[in-house]
Amino acid sequence: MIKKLGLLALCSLSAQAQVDVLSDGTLQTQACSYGRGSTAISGAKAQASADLISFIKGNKSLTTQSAQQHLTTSLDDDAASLYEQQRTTMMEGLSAGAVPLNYSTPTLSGNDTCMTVSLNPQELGEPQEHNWQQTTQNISVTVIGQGWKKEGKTALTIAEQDALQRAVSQVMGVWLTQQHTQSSSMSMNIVDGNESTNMQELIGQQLSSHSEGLVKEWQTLQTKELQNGGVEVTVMAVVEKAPLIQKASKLLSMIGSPRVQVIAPEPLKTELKVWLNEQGIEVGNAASLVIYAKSEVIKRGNNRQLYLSADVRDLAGNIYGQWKNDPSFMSLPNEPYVEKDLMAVHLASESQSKALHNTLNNAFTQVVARGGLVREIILPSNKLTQPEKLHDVLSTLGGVSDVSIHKQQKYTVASLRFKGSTGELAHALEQALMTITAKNLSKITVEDDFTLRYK
Amino acid sequence: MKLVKKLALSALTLALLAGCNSTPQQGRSTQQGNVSNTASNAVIAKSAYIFNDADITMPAYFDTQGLERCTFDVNNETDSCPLKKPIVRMYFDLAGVSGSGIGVDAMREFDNKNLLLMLENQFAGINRFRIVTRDDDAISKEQQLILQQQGVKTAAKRAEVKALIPDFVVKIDSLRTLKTEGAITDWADYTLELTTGVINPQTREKLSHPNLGKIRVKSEDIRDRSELKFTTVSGRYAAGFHFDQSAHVNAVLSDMGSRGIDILLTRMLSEMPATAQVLGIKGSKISLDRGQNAGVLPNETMIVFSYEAGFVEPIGVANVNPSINSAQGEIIRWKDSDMADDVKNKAENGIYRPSNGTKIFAVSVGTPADFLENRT
Repeated sequence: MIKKLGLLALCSLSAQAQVDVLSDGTLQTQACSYGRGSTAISGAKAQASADLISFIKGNKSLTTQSAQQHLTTSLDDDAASLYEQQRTTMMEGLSAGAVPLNYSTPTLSGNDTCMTVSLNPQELGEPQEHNWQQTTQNISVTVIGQGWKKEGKTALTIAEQDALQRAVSQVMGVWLTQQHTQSSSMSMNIVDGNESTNMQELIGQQLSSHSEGLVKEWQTLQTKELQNGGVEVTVMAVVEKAPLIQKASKLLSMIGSPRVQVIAPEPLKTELKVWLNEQGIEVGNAASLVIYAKSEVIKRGNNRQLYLSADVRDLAGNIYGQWKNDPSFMSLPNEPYVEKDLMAVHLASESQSKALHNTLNNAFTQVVARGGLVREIILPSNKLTQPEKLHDVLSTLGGVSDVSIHKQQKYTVASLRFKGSTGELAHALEQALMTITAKNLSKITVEDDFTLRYK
Repeated sequence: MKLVKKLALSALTLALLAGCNSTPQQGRSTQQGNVSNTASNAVIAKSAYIFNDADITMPAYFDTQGLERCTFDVNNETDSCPLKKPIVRMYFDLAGVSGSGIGVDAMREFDNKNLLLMLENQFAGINRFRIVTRDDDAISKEQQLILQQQGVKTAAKRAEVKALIPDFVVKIDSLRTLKTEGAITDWADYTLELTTGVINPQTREKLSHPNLGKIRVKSEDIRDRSELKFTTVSGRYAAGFHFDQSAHVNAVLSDMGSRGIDILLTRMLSEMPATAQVLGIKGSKISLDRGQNAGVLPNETMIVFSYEAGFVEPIGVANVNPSINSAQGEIIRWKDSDMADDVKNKAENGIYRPSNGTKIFAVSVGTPADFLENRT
């Protein structure tokens, strides 16, 4: 066997790049690749591995030949048999790049960068199967929930529910963080009154009400009594990823695509409309959100740059988001149509367009986070039989928040936020206001997405 | 040799005198020098072929940093890599010319934009800095053409790549003066003085290096005095050189600026010489680990020196030609020293690769001998 190997080594030496077989069985070769730096180094490494492969492969035909007894070699018995055992592993491994090769520090030689690469069969160990970790479908998290007895439910039940909601929220957070690399709109901060919350929590809140469908299994690890009859539970929950992502995506797409109106000078208006349509955002005149956009051409020496800005407002004038372009993106010579050209390039740019998209997304999610769009309900004051109760009645309506009331001549104007369509709000109002208004109050009319009027 | 003899003799005399005279003499380490305002001239390297043994000495500012820490990625190079070049933006500033007098108005209307571009081009060629051009017009014109020919999407994609951010600002400050005699037949004598500052734009620090000094260019360096002769009649131009027309004056000033830039370049090459490590010596051939990427120029005269335990010892002078990443050279003359003989013997029969703590480097002497002829 030893002799055979000796022959192999010698034959290969003459036929291919020089591969040296050291006394401990280590195969060693040097390869060079043109250039400098990592590309050249990996080139040299690849070349050396290829040399080693062809060296090992080359042996195959030779091993089947009859032994040449008169040749001698310095390989010892162990090394030779080890080499024979590992040969297939080495060949497979080398071509897959999975065999641990020893690399010298790169050296420079003229225009080339050279590497000495060696392979010691003794370092290989037993051939191992590589278990590639599959994308986990389920994620297990350990969370703590707290609960106090309420409305016929025990403190423990509430604490468990709280824990599961937190589990969903946590997994959601991880998913959203991953998404964050693609779109920064996902973890932006939304100012909700004085409280700062963010998208993760927002979606977590919305989804956690459905935690039962998302938590595959769970297990109570620890229970602890709190003051005032409360309970704290530590739960290990397994959350299914697929349905969670599905639901979250649906919610996100709902938030992301309301209808908007564009108010801007031409040609910005047309360009913006086209862009919005391409982004899947519906544009119309009777929209509850308005994008106000401006453009200005700025002189820079002999050339021109473009300033663009856009903000998203609701019909009550609240600003939900603002975007400004990066004027340094491009400057063009001062020629006719320079503004149009610049505009087209700015909107076609991936970074700029992504920033605009994010701003709009943020704005839309902020609308949701604040409790929906603002609407105004206009009532003739003389037809309110119990005006003092108007605030309470409106506040108790499902999905309504931020109610404020003021007088405007003969009318009482209630402004509120509502999570849902204007039609839904009109329907709910008809039912609720019946008790505090005069019988001869007209039917409610929906003037636009913002104004609802009684006569 | 004469000088050595003289020195030895005077040292002997001094020693004798000191021996006779018991009161020690107060020594002086300074002497008076004259501030000259003559025109500056370019100092360039001698060709390696005309070096003699005494000429093989170390130039200033050599560097013995190896390439071990380099990533070779031009935009992501480590600070400890000698191939990392500062990114600079260049300014050519002309001090305003005020007042009135013969030819002053014409001198005032000098446009330095093109001198700036020339400066950028010449400096880019010697590869000591990475230069962010200020040629906005060419850039925006190009962007417009891409927009026209490749469309909005391609143009937008290209524009995503931002301009380099300069580490330093290289500013050439200049002063122009005009001297006339005030006679009826007279000649215009323009002087242009250039100084260079390297400024850190954040900290506002003006760096001490490279110190290019002051460059003075006189109109007689570039034009024969007879070309600048003119005649006036009652203070108005009558014949000869059009001192009163900006086009003519600008032609002279531009030539002077151009000459100034050439001198500036040669000084820059002396201040920032190219150093490269010698990977091997085979006979008289040397292989260097850096080439164009380290600013080695064609026909570069380089001093080959060994570096051991903090001491440098010149071993020869070589004529070097670069490729992109490396350079090849030939030692034209070996230094007459034991060290050089040792290396020479080792390299005679095969390739000598410096090892065991000895490193061999090559450093450029300055502007290559044929540079002014071929590149300016």
